[in-house]
Amino acid sequence: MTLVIIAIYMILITAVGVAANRILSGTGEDYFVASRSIGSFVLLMSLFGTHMTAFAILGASGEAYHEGIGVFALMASSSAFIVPFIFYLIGTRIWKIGKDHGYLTQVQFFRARWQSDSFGLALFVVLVALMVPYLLIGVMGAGITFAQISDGAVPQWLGGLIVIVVIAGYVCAGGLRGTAWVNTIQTLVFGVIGAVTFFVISSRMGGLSAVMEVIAEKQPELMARGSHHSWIHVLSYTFIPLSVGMFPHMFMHWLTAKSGNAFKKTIIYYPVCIAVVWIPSVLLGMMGVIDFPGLEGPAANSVLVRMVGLHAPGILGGLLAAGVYAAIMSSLDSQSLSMGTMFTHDIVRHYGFHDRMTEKQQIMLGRLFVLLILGVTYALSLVVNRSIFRLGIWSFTGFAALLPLVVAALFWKRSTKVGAWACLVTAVTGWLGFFVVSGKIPGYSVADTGVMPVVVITGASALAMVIGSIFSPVPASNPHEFKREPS
Amino acid sequence: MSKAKVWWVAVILMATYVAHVDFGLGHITDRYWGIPISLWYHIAYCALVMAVMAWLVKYAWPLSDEDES
Repeated sequence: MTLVIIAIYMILITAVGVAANRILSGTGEDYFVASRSIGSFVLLMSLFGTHMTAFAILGASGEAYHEGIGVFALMASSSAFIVPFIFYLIGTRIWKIGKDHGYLTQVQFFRARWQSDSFGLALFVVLVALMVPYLLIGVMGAGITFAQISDGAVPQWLGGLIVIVVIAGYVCAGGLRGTAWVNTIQTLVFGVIGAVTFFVISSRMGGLSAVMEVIAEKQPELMARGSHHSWIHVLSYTFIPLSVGMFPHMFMHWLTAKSGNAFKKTIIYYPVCIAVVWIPSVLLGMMGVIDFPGLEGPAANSVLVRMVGLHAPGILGGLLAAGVYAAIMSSLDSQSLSMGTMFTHDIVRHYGFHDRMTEKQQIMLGRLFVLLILGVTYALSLVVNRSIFRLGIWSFTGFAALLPLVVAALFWKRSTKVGAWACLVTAVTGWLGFFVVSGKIPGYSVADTGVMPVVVITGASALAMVIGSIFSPVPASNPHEFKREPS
Repeated sequence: MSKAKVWWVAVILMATYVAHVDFGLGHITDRYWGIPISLWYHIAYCALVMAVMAWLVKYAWPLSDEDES
């Protein structure tokens, strides 16, 4: 029964993607940015659904299983402030510039800002490379969920494959309009079902207070941040949500807004949306120590799904599993589409291949690139066995280290392409260096100080931007000058 | 609303965050309605951020009517 409900859910969201395709105007602008027609509610739902991934659902619960309540402080509190503030400060301006100049991708924006083709190409490669581990956590999460919920009848490799096929189907059919619609449905599904999951499981375990009493007796260290996370460690995690400012899929969703005013509800309600998802994830992860003690390392990725399988089998279990899938797929789809959009516009069109193709053929090529990236991600999911939380942190570290690029592009007229190159090279080398040094050391921090690598890499890339810009000629003009003062 | 005031709001909010991450509550295992106190503290912080964002949207919106058209 559980698998039947999941199958019905998959068919439903594919149908929504196909329905969006029927009203697709056939132009690239409609496929890639929904003709910049998305209103405030769908914008909030699609941005939030895109942002919340397997990281927030399976990764957070798995990490809370090991580390306890402090996991909420690590990510949710800082995200509640930093993410909407980035929408306010950066997203609104990007929307305005994108509308004025007809931009569809991040690379177009940066290439024009510093008038450098080679920088645009290098940025494309870096963004795609950083996106692969981000996609990977979604595919891993989907496989784990299928395997657990079906008691192994659907193996992890098949579960990941099913989700990839469904996503490829509706992304290729519906473009960003379809993706925004599906994301809205999925965000509502995982928001509502997440809350239901939490109440059902905690009541079947005897009520939240009773469950927390048991945890406090068995593993009191999970109930407080305590010595798990030093204050400097928590503060350095504040840098991780800065990654939102450079995610290609968030950038693309900003451009879909019908107006700047459409951002207002998103900015105001984002903190509460984050709390609604993260509180159940973290608490359910902690509650997992009662029913499933002794899970080691990445095995805790599946603790939430194990709880669903144990306490809510049958129809309810199927609905709850659909909620987990909704969270996973609402991110994978936008991430995949953003890769296809960048490939079509920043490679195919920009380098002249469009002269030999119709617009529909260009869109088709973008779809093939999406399939290629999903295929590579799927292949990696078969061999990688790491904590979803930690894999996500590494991906976010890379994107956060690129944030000085967008800040300088928008707010520092004096920034130059030399500075942008210095920033990019520093971010990439810093990320690779720390990954090699610390990739397999659990709980790594810089020189055991508690400071996360993201702080050092982002600081270094910002410094490189400043030094590179100061010691290079002032650009003749800024094509994106934002002259008006705030009203 | 000047840009400087917007930045000041951001700095104050950030300072509040810095202050609350090691306020001592992180070490207490007491609970209200089952939820650990340290989590309540973070939930209150989310509510504060929401209020500040509403204020920014109302009084310091970065786009003008001309931008919207």
